[in-house]
Amino acid sequence: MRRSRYIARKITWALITLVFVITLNFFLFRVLPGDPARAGIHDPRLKKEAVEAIRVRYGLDKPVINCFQTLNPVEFGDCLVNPLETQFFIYVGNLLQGELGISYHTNRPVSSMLGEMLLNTILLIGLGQILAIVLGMLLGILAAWKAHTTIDYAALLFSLTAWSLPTFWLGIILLFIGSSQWGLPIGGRITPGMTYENTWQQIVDMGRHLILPTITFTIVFLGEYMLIMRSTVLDVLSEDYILTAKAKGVSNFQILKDHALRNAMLPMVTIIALNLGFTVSGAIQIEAVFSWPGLGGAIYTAVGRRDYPLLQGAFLLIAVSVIFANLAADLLYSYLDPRVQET
Amino acid sequence: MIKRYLFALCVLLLLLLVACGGQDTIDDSGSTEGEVVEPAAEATTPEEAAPEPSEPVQVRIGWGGSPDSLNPGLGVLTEAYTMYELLYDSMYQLELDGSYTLELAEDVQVSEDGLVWTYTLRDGVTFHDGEPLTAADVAFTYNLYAEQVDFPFLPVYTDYFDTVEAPDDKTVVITLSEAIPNIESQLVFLYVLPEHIWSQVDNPAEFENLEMIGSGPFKMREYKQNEFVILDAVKDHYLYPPKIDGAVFQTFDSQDALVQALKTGQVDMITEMPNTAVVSLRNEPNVEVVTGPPLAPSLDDIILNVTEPENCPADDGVCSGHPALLDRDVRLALAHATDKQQIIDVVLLGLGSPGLTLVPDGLPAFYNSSIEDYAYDPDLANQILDDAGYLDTDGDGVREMPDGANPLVFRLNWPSDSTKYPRTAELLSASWGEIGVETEQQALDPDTLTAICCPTFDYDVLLWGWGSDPDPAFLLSVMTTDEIPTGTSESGYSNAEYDELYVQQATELSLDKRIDMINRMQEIAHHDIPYIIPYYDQAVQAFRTDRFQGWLTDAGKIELSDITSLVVIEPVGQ
Amino acid sequence: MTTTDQSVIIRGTWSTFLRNKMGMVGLIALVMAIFIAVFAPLLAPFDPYEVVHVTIDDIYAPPSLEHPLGTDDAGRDVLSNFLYGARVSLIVGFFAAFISIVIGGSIGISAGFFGGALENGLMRFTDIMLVIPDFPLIVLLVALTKPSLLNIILVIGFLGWTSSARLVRSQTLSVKERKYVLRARSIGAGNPHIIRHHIFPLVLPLMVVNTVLIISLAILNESVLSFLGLSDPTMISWGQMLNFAFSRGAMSTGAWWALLTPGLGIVWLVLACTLLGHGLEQVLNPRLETHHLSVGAEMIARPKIPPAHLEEGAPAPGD
Repeated sequence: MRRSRYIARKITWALITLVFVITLNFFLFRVLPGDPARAGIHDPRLKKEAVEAIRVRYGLDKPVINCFQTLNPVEFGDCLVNPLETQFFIYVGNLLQGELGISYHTNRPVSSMLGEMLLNTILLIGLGQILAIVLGMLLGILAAWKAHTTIDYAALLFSLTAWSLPTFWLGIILLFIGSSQWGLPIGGRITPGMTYENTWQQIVDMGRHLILPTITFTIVFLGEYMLIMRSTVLDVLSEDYILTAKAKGVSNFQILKDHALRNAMLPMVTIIALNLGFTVSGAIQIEAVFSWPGLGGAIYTAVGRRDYPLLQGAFLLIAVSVIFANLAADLLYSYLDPRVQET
Repeated sequence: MIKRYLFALCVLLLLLLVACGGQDTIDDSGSTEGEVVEPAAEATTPEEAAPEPSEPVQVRIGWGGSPDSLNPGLGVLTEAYTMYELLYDSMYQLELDGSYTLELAEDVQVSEDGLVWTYTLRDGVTFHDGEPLTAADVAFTYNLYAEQVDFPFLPVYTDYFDTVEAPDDKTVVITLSEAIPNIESQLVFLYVLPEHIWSQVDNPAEFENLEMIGSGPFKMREYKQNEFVILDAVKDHYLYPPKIDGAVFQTFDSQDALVQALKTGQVDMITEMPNTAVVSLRNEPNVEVVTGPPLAPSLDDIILNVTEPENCPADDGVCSGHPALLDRDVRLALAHATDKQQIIDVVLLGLGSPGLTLVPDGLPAFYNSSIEDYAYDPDLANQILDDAGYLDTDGDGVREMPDGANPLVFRLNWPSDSTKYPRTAELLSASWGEIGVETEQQALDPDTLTAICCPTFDYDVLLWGWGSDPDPAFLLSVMTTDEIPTGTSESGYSNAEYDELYVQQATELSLDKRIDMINRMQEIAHHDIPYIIPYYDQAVQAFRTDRFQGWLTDAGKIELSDITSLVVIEPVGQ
Repeated sequence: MTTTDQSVIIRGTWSTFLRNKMGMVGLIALVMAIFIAVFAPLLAPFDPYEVVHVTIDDIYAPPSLEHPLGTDDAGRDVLSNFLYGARVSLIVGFFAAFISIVIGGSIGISAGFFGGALENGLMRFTDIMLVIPDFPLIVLLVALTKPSLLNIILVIGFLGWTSSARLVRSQTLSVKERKYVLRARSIGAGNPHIIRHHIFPLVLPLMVVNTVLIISLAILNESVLSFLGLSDPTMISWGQMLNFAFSRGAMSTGAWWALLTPGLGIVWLVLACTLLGHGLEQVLNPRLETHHLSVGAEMIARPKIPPAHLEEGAPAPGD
């Protein structure tokens, strides 16, 4: 089908998913148990007036949506109230302005808190994924090349085991070994209080803090990429035209490069896109173990403190990122696959 | 293909480089982390204009949390209060032995009727931005706290204030509505804010206060939430100029990471650690572990639902507590079936003292140590229940009410964000099981727990805790009848004599008489057993002996991150 | 397709499977795990749920004759905890996966078989759910509701069906057009009959493979949720053991046994499921033993079926 039509469909679909996520995000927190006004402060020393004042400040005294005052417990309200005065539309309106609310815990705007965290997470995930992809592909090609030999089985076993490791467990073990044996930092993003003479030192410092989390990430994810690469290369190399090419005297290396790799791109992109969900799970665990100040760590601590605005904001940000990454993958897909299938 | 190989190689090389390149900074433990910095390049205040000949000496402290807000009115966590203590001054300073010393003021006069308190401020007090601190700032601050209804905690300390005035630059006059015995403990948390900054703020409840301009011995250099806080010392502080040049507080998300950081020398002191690591850390060279009563005493309690039907709050109350808990004999048996030492051994690794009353032993002046506790005696507990008619009529190992119905099965709940409580719950279940009482254990998220606790009273037994003020007045209020409908009373306890004494002690000016009243209150409450206090937690902290010396470890309470230690420590070898 | 054909296929599949080393290893490992879970009360030297009086010396005690794998932060025997912990991990894995498969299978078959607007709607919905990162959603749902085993099973189960839905649908689509299905229709067979007797048996093998992999994912998810402190602390699971070890300072005490044991258990179980799944998939989609570029290899021709997993949606890394 025509690429432009494909792209248009994909974009429309991404937007619909976005709307769904935004709606889900909002109602999830209104339906599930918990009183947001008391969420941050469990000490009953908080006076009733203070609770009321907090409720008003966060707009929690307004009806959730037309016909419903609150959703948990369900309390009916005025159906004819101005929709723009309901929590839902206020929420949407704020979203369109980039406002994600105020954190219950820190009283700072959620958007400013998350902005930097997003970058930190992207740095961590990005580095880890790139390494995992590269190493996975190399390993996969090697395994396919030497299919059904000891090397292949060793690589397979390694990859499958790596995939089976609980990310946080691997992280804890690496943290322990890394810090006691190799003198790597225990956690965090940079060494606090350290003064840098130039940018290079800053990069070096951050790099040192990135080593262990990135290694953890890479190990857990390279297994899958290795397996995909291996099976694709194996498939391709079994095709008849490979035999022809070899008979014509093309070198193995050339064959691998021109045929195997090219055909592997498509499934690789598919898997990378599909993996985005797991990547988030991995990010949450790694950031928790290594005290890395990213979105995953934010979710982890916000869950503990019932900081609903931060949770909502972080979840939304993650979902939006994944949606866009998927869209990007789909678009990339459309360029790689000349047939451009419709799903 | 080649490009891919090269790329991978480059990345690996880069990682190797940074791993090796950074090696030097952790090897030398004797000096600071960073390179020499020209102070002029990062100077923000006039004091640092002259380049210092040596590297800045910073103490690096590791902790598990992070200040939630730099606005003294909004902060809830202990980490936030640590910051307020260091960067702000208040009228009094709480010493490690529990006494109060004058901080901002050099003199205090009180009128005959105890209603008018006149403070004379010291000379030379300035804010971090150079502006002088005057009585006007103090009056402004106190009035601000009193007016801000959505500051969670601080307004309560101004409850008894009638007026606060500043007749001149150095005099503050506070007129109370009633004479109270503990004005020091009220004023110690009222951190004085600069009027010239805060009067310009639209809504103090939304003010982030990232610069944290105060008058304390430390000032803010950099703050990254959940990562670190960097403070510079105020070398010309009017009262306690620190000997070090600065302090860095680094947040670690896991307790093991904290311990590891101390062992490897990444930090010089840690404010918390898992009790299980004490032994191994004590064996570590150059590390000293200190344990003792915490400066801010905390309390973990076992709450029994003793809400009488007539006290059940009209609108919110559900009051579904098990009827057996209304019988003192049952509660007495439960108390005798609680093995406090075992709980201390397992949950705290022995680092705690057996609990007694709601007033922790960390407040020695008010703690009634003369009360005899209910010893762990399962046989006696069984006897009590037998005599009271709670027999196991159907032989299933669980006793029933005297009329044969309603087996003694209690719901046992605790907040899910703690790892101490599950272990405590296990131990309780086990030892109470031995006297024929069964428990249904369920961890609940803190919100749900609040919802079922108070003022709904929809539970049987709760495990929870409090943080205490230096003055026990608040903790004592938790057991008054008045607080049942407000949600502050957790147990629904009601005793007329106790209520009467509570009112009296609030305005009793003679300390001895007040202590007598508070002791009597503790006796009454201990007799009625609305709470079983399993233990009083100890503070467990550690520091490196090869970096800084002078930590205050034997002044009564332990809090190494407090201002009392931080202004006196200096590098080892000086 | 007659029942004799069916049984021939099943027997043929089974014998191929027996010769597949990877699958066999996985199966044996899985069976072993089930064995120790079922017989835990007989195998465990101590009952982890029993009352026991411990002293400080019993906390994080290193491995000894009495406690071959040491003790944990409450002085309990790690080996016994480990054996009982297998139960929760397996229960969550199986039941959550079961829920996922039932939902996913139903959606997939309905969408593939009935087509049209129903297929469109269901697949669009699946697409949306596929894109939304499920793990944060799981964390949120479990955190905001009561921490209990049932909740975890429900949440993991209800959020894990997307991959099987897509898989089952595409397989249904391909089966639907086969000749014998059309013939059955022409002689008046109703939809339920066709689904039950023709579609389902051919979709089943793929579903089994998918289920095995979903089980491993569910087990991993449960362990992470327990680790994050979102599970029921009164239930012993491997993830819960790790949670206690991590938050009660096992590493600083040097109590490696408390950390290593449950972790290795999880790895074993997940690896077993993965190997089994891969083995099954190899059997269903046999591949050439070798390829044209291997040195000194002979050329063996064997029929090749396009691997189903490379179509949209399966989480299974292929082989």
